[in-house]
Amino acid sequence: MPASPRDRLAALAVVGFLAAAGRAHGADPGDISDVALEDLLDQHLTAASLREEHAIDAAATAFVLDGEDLRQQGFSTVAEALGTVPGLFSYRDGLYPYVGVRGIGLLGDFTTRLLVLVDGHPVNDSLAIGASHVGRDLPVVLDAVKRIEVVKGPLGGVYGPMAFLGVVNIVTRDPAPRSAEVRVSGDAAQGRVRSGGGSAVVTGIAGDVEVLLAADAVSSRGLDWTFPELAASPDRFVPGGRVNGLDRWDAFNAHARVEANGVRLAAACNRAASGVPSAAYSSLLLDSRNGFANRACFVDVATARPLAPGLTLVGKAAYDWFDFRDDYAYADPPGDVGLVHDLGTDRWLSGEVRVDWEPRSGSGVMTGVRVETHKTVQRTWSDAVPTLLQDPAGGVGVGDIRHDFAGGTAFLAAHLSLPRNVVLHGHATLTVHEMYGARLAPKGAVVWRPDEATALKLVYAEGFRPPLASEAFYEDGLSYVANPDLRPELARSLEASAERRLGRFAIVTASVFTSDYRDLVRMQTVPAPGLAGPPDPTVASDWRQKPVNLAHETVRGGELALQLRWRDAFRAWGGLSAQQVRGAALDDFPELTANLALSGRVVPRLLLAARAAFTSARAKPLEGLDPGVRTSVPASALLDAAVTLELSRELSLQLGVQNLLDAVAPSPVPADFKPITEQPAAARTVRASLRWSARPR
Amino acid sequence: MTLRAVIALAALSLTPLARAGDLPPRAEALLTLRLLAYDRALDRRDYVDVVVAVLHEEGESLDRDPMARAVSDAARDFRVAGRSVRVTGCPWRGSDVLAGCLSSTRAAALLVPERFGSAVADIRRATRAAGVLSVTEDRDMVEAGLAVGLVLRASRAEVIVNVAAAREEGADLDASLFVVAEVVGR
Repeated sequence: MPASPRDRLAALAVVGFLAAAGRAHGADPGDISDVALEDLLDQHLTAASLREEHAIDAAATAFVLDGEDLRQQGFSTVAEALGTVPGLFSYRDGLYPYVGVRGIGLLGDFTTRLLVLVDGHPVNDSLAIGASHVGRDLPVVLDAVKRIEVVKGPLGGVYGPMAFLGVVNIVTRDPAPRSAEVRVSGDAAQGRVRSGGGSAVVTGIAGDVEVLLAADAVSSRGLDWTFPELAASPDRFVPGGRVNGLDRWDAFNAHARVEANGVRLAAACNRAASGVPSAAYSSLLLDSRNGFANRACFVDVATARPLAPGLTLVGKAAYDWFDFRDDYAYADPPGDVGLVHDLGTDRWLSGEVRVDWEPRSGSGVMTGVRVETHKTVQRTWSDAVPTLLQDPAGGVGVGDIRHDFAGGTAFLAAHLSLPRNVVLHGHATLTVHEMYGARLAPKGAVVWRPDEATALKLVYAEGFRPPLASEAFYEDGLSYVANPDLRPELARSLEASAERRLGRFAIVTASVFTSDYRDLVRMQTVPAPGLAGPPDPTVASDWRQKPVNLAHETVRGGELALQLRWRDAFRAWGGLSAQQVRGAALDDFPELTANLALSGRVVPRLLLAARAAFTSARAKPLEGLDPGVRTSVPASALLDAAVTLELSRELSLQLGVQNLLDAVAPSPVPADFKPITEQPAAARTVRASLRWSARPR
Repeated sequence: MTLRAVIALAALSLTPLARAGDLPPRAEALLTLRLLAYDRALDRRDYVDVVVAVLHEEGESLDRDPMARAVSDAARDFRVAGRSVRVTGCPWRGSDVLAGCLSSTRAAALLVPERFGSAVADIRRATRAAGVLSVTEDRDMVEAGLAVGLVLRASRAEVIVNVAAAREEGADLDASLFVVAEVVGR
């Protein structure tokens, strides 16, 4: 079958680049091994515009990590991997890992502003509680991941809600006939073995049926933590601030994908449970009952069919469910309320129909509709006292808080190729939300390729995020009050970037951006309702946490990113992001973040990898901060390293050290973790893993 | 709603899938050389040059074959595993003649144009007999038993490897190739 004009054009760009590279080499032929296979194939991604395109052509600043990057660095979670992406930074609150984008890393965010996709399927729920979607609670087996696509900046014009700060698309492997891979691993820290786990990935092809099956499990007895604030606390004193082993955790993942006759059926499920050493929300210190567990599962069916030359119909349908439960121990009645439980569930059904039309080279239109219906339930109750419905004075919880809602998004995306290698992009989504009305989110971009090695981009994008169920409706009569009057958050971003290939091995990207954020939802301490008199600042029960919309904030900054790949022997990527905020101060806002990841083959069977991440000082929430407690966490750096020894063609051993320098590297935590106001990084941990891969036969 | 979605998807599944496009000769030539660098068996073979054979119709001039020209151009720019690259032609006159051509020219790879799709079984017999890695631009031919396919899928070149066929052709492909390649065949 002859190639389409667009394919021809795209391939010619690849060939042109290679030809230029070849000419640059001069009369002395180079070795073809000096050219990375990926450069010949060229990176592509779908996250920026829902269609496959070269990263350099995407109407966004995009970054792709491939499966080999993940293996060589020995990442154990997607959050660890994302921490190496230029412009992104990791932070933690002791419950979940989080990922911030260009300085924006809201505390207690539960990754509700970064859209996370698994093979294009969105996994974010609409509760905004009890999930990170980038840690061990993500329903993905990391050993089955082929690549991770990251697009920075609001993408409401493409995805509608949730793609507020960016999009992470996790692409799993293509099945191979009768291949298998097994990995076992263990961690040791602070002089003890702390965790163990393993994974298995099996693929097969039988006729037209392709199958991928993957599972992993990991269990940890937790680390010993030191919280200096507990050692200094008059009312919550812990000797030395030492809390040992209370963050035990277990996680299990299973993922299956079957493709046949152009229809893809995928199903995945995750269950993760953890203890809480920091006794958040004023719960009892050193009580092993403090903990949480969640479950996230989905079933997704999708197909793409050509209707005519250049015309493709895409259909998707999915069912997701998410459950969250936590347990926090308080003193028994009559002094307090005993063991309190929180429950959150979200069940949602979604469907999408889309038509992609590419009538001529470099130009096309995509239009479609997505709909979803959610059923959410939240409940807080105590084993020891009745609910507020039964005991308005001393109860806990208000019974089931049920909210069912539907929403839909109609979207239109077009790209138009103009003379002189200029491509115009225009996207728009019209989202209709049963509770928050209709909203239009546009995106426009110009991408100019003055030569084959260069791309200049100007991108304007908007995003929005309706208040989620826990923000708008959750209340427990104990610590939180609802705010059904919350408005949707809005983001507008303008970015100019230049991407340049340097020779065969390097890609440099420089960008400047300005982003306006309006009505970001944050928790604020307010007097408890129904008080007979003025609230007493020293009495916790006189106060509540209430979600409110913050004022206008503008973030301006610049980013420099670098990728290097030399043969199969060396890889490096990293970047520097500097930004300033104007308007209301943002907690946990670093003005500077930087990261660098390296891996190289020092001898034929030995591969070394290292990575470093730097985050500048970040402010803590000032609300309720005790006198004498520092108001910000200092700048910090984390360094990890790994060495991989290929014992045979099938067997490899990897030894890694996380937090090699044993740095404290604290992150600010939400105000209701008081008296703890900062969470240290995990202590230096030695990680060993043994991987056996059966080659496809 | 779920039932309707299932019915719609079932109906959609009855229509045929799109096929991938063809790579331009230059890209296919460069990718072919790059893939040969993944063949560990190349080091074990007593080659002075790496010979890439191009299958063509009997009576056709190799000079006019775009694929042969592209490989010649690529050979001026690159070596494979430290060896120079040379291009030769093998006319299609049946399996035995092809095997003889491949053996006499000490070819490391055979580029098989899509138009030879009807003869894939005979070509496969020849490449296996001669121990030569077969490379084509047609996915169907890889699924039918040739070793490597280089195709365009959307805007990205994709490598498709029939591992069993590659092994039978004497190739020993490095496992790192399979991180990016799609594997087909049993």
